[in-house]
Amino acid sequence: MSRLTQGITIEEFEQLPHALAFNHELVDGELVDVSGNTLGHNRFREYLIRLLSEWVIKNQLGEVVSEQEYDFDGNAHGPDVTFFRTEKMPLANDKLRVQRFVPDLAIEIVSKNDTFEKLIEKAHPYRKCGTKEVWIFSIDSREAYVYSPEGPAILDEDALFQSSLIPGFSIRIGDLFDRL
Amino acid sequence: MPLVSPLTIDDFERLPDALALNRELVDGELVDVSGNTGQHNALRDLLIALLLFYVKEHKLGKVISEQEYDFDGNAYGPDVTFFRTEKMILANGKLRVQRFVPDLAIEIVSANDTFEKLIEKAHRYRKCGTQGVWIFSIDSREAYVYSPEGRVILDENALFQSSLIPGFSIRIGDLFDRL
Repeated sequence: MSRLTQGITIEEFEQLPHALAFNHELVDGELVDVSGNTLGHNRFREYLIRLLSEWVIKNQLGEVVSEQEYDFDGNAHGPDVTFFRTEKMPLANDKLRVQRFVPDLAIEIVSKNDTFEKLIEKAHPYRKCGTKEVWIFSIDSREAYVYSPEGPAILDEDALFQSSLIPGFSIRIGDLFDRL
Repeated sequence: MPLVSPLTIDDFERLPDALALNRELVDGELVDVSGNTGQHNALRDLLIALLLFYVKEHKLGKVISEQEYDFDGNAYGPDVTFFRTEKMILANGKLRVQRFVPDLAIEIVSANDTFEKLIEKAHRYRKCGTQGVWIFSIDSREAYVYSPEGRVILDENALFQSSLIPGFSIRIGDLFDRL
């Protein structure tokens, strides 16, 4: 899908001054604004980070990180929350803005101005680039839209947020929203 | 809902065309309906053509595009709607906003539809009594379906079919391929 003549590469994006790259993603060679997050959005993200980090660290499963950008086939996206397994840790480079691998699990939280197309358009390329599971949490509708090897699904608040990538971790989706 | 004097469906009905055209009434306020692209219109018309023919032939009810209905005080006009023969008696040819809800509502994703607003519509339709809501995403070649059987995401190999329109069935990918 890269029919770009003079698009920015990940390397160029990496070298941009902070003021230019901050709050931007690189999509199809172009800088795209990342929507400012609301308090509810940030709270939800921090809550997920806290729950997941605790479990993942305790069980030595890998790393959980927020707003980290990765190279998704030449596009730099920073999902709200990502998890990658221990095996990928040697690939992580602290000095780089954009990690040159993809996370195993990516979580996006719906923002007010996220269009349906752009959001779904992220989920599919993440998966295509090797991210096994993508979860989109919609605080408004109290649902999760999940794209995984088992197929896409819409989960309501009574379903569980769990993943074979993070064995043993499980929480009712509604309970996540209730904590906001 | 911090509205001082929200519009009712009756107020909305009396608005001049210039004000109400291409608008929906949501939580008492007029909301612009996004202009449709050619692809969007093509899919809507294809669905209308396929469904209309089938529904007429089998005398199941009525299929109509861009018709507004009263969804609990909100006036929404889904891209395509179907209502069964039993509801025909409720239809009023003189009204902009029909005072009942369709049995099936189909929305086609537009470029500027936000995720929240679109999903909110689907849930509101269902809450007001519309049994099946289908959201077609031309971009991702998927359908997001909300029905009494649950909520599912269907890929292009799945079928567009509904117990409300018995016997009708078409592969979702075939719909997108015909655009």
